[in-house]
Amino acid sequence: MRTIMHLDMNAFFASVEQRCDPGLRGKPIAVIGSAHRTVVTTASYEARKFGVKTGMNKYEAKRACPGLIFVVGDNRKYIDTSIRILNILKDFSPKVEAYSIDEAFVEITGMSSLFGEPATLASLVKERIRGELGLTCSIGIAPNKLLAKLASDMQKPDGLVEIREGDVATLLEPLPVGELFGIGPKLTAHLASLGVATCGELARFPVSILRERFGIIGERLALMGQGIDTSPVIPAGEEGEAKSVGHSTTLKRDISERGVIKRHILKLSEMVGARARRYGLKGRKVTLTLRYHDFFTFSRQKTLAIPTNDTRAIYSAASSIIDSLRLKSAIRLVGVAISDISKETGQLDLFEDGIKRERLLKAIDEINKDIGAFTITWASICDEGAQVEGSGVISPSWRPEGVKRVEVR
Amino acid sequence: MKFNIGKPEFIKVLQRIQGIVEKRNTMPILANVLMESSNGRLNIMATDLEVFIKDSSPADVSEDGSVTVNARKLFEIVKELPSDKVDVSTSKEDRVTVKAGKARFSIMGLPSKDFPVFPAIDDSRLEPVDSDNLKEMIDKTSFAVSTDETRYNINGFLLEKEETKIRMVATDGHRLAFIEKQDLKSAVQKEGVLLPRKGVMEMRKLLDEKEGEFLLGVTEKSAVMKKDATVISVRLLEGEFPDYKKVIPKDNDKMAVAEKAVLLASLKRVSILSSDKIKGVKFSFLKSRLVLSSSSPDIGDAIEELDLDYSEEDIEIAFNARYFIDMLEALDEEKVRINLKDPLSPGILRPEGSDDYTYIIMPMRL
Repeated sequence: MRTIMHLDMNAFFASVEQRCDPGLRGKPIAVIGSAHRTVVTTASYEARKFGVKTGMNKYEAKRACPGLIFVVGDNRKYIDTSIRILNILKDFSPKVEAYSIDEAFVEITGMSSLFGEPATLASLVKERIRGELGLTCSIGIAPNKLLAKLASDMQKPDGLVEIREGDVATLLEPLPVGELFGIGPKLTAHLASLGVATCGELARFPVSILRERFGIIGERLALMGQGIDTSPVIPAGEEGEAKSVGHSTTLKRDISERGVIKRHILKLSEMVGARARRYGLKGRKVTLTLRYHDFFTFSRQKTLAIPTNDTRAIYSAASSIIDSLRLKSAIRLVGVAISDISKETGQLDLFEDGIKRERLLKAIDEINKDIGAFTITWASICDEGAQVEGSGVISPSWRPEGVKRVEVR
Repeated sequence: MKFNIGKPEFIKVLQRIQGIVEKRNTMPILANVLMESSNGRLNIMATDLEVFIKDSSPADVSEDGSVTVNARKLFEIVKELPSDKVDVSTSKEDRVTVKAGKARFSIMGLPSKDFPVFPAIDDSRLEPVDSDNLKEMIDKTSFAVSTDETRYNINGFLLEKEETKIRMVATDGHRLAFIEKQDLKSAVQKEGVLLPRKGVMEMRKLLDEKEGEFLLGVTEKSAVMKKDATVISVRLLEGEFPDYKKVIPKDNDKMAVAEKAVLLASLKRVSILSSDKIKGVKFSFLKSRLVLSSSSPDIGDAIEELDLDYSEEDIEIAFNARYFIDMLEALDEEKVRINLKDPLSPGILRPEGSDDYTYIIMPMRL
């Protein structure tokens, strides 16, 4: 049996700001982006007491808490702190997976001879993070990642919860499905329409119906209801040969206009292309994944004659896939991935246009790496409806290391 | 429509069109063959809208008429029929009945009026062609044609004439094959046409027939090949072929001459251990010898040395072995000339003693 620890920093951005500026400590603060129209990224616990929530605009936040102090986020501080936290975790186990900027999974199976019981180890981790960085975190310990994440959510701030194998069934039986990581409000509503409100009910629900209703995620849902999750903790650099490079995005609203969906596909193609180019990878298969508003999710693939990491080629394949589809309803999620991955071979091009293209992409990549993603990009992405969110705030899914593989389930 | 035909004759005409019928299900009727009986002959036709093929065979026609029916199914049925004679007839609603011995098949067809029309052919523009020369030109360039659908302008062969010569060029962006021949000239009436790969490969199959005269004509919109009753019409590709003359190196002064068979065998061996899909092999040209080596981080490495004529300074360069092998396999001559400049510039391969056939390969970064 495995022992997995999930670490979740409490009000990360806000806590880092309070740590850096003693004048902010103990006060209600909200970290916001630098952009003109910005929303609250993180609120300190003092602000949360007044009902300030992530996603509120400044006006709403100020109304909830008139004494609220706004702080414009500083991404470099967060990245630096995040790396320091990971380094502390690596002192306890080699298997540390940076899950997002303020979350990590650590496999601590078999570590008891070095650090004592899992809870003791977790206390040591909390101690060091508090001592060295002045920050608090919530830690969950459980036999798998799904439950560890659940455990860390159970006590905030500054929590430490252990879920033991024998307690899983009792714990999950009355637990609302929405508490499980990966089941959001819409999915919760869909499950409710099937009469499924708790994990216990989800576990007993016929898999065949889930599969029919939700496509490939149906089977995973059934396992989640039983608290089963076999996904491994994957440390950076040990992802193995990337089998695919992909990105997906849940749209802000369900969209049925093809033009708009295609702009999202282009944006995702650029994200996939840029990442593949950064790691010198090319893929021969392009997969487009779409999720309808009712959560039915499906993928279609196209195989190319030669492997590519050129945004244009990825986009042209993905967009030809959507051209061949008759969409049954509005789209909720779009995903683009390349697979059948090979290393860039160093094969040179005979003609000038191929060479020029390669240089152009390289120049764009370098500028975007230095100044920021999407500094230079396709004009159609900038069109209304698919604007790159320039909130000025680091994406919570940002990770300090490794080829990020976003898999769409 | 009603006719009786010998099974071997029927098989022959049906076999010829199998490569053309559309496999993708975009227009159902394109999966069909058009059959038409009149004047003691069975005429058939198939197309994917890019390549058109028609053929004809004597038949015992008792009722004129036409119909279209699934080409693959009909071919499969005819191949397996138990007797030497086949009866074919149509009934209402374009249903086709095939009878032979005690076997009877009834297949749903589609009306012939919905079938695309074969492009008009001006026989006066067709000229006899030396089939061996044409075959050689196709065989020595076809492997270099790009199969990447997004690069439609190189999904075929460039055919052009210069003075008294006819030239065929093919490339996939990494390598380029180029061959010139003295005759064929009158058949090509338009400068720099692009022939699609599929159509040329259908013509190539036809060229394997031994006897008879082959006629070829290239006009504004299409290339036509005719042999007896068989006619293939290929719609030309639109688009601009890259300026290939610009990439033919002029100052590749490091020349090596190798025995083709030795180099080919050695490359095939060494490339077994080059990593995954792209067969990268390192070529080290040293005084009078060539060292080929490959390595794959997960499997191992290979090295082989062979003698060749080389007296310039040492050069190390990497190529996709597949690109080399393709050309060497197509080469008739015993010796191959390799001209290089530096590790990042294209290499030239030619048969020793002739400049009519040129093959250019872009190296891989070491």
